[in-house]
Amino acid sequence: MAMKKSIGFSLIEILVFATVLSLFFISAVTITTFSLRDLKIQEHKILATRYAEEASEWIKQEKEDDWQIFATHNGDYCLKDPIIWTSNLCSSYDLGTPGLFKRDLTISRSGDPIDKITTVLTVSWLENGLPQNVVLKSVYHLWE
Amino acid sequence: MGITYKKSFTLIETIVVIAVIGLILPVVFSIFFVLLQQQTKIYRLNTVKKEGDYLIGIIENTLRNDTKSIHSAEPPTDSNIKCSTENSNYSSLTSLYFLDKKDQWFGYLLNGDAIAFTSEPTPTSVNLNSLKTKISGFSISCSRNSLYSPPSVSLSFTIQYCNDVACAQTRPEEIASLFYRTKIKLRNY
Repeated sequence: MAMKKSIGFSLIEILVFATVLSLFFISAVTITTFSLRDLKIQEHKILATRYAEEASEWIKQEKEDDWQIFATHNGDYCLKDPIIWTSNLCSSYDLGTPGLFKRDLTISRSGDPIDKITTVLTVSWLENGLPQNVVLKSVYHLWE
Repeated sequence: MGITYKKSFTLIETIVVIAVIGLILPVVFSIFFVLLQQQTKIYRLNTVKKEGDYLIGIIENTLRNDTKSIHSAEPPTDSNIKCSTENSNYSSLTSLYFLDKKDQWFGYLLNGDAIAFTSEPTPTSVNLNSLKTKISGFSISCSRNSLYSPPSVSLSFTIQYCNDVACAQTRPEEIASLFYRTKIKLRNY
């Protein structure tokens, strides 16, 4: 009697197939996870930019209201919501809903009497424990 | 004659394969679903920011460069002039009108869920934001501190993404809304 050849997949074939399939799945999931993280950063960046612009508009308003009072401010400030002058940099991330951001302002002045004020606004937040930030620099002159 | 066995999968093998597929597919699809959800969120936030920036930009530019006087109603007359004297202010939740350098009036008003522009050549108001967004908490006001400096116009509003689905959302992470506030000094007053 002749040996009947068994039909079906060999172990090697199954292994190769399983490896290719799992590589495909792993890479697909990795790419998706990375793009998800990027999207999250992008979302926070849009919000952070808005917070920075809001503060920038407020500073411009302070400057246009009264230069003399505006020029008394110098050094580090924390701009919470609603915005008021609060000395020293922010200690915690509590801006926005939910509180994820902090908004710091650093002012440097030049001229005697002061005729030029440089402001650096930094809105920062934590993304998976790593700090991210949006920086907005502006220069204000007495005459403009 | 012997018994012939048909080569096939056993019940156990089939169950194991189905179980593995049953574990992997939900994971893959849930990741995919979260991705889509996040993309929708970014799209909404982006639309809101774009339209809010446009509103602030266009109002700021026209007011700063063109405005000659501020009025509470249209057509502007001497009787409805506002913020022309020292320490005066005026606030409105709906509209404010202005006279430009060519003595033609224009104004911004709250038209339902939108901020609208109206002017003497085009008296029918034109909405400045699309139907995708909704304005709330609109307020426009003016103030003047002294006769030596021009008055300022303050503007604030909240803009929210709003289509048939998004408007009914109550969960905070589903709402795309941004707050805008600015103060414009009228340079050509």
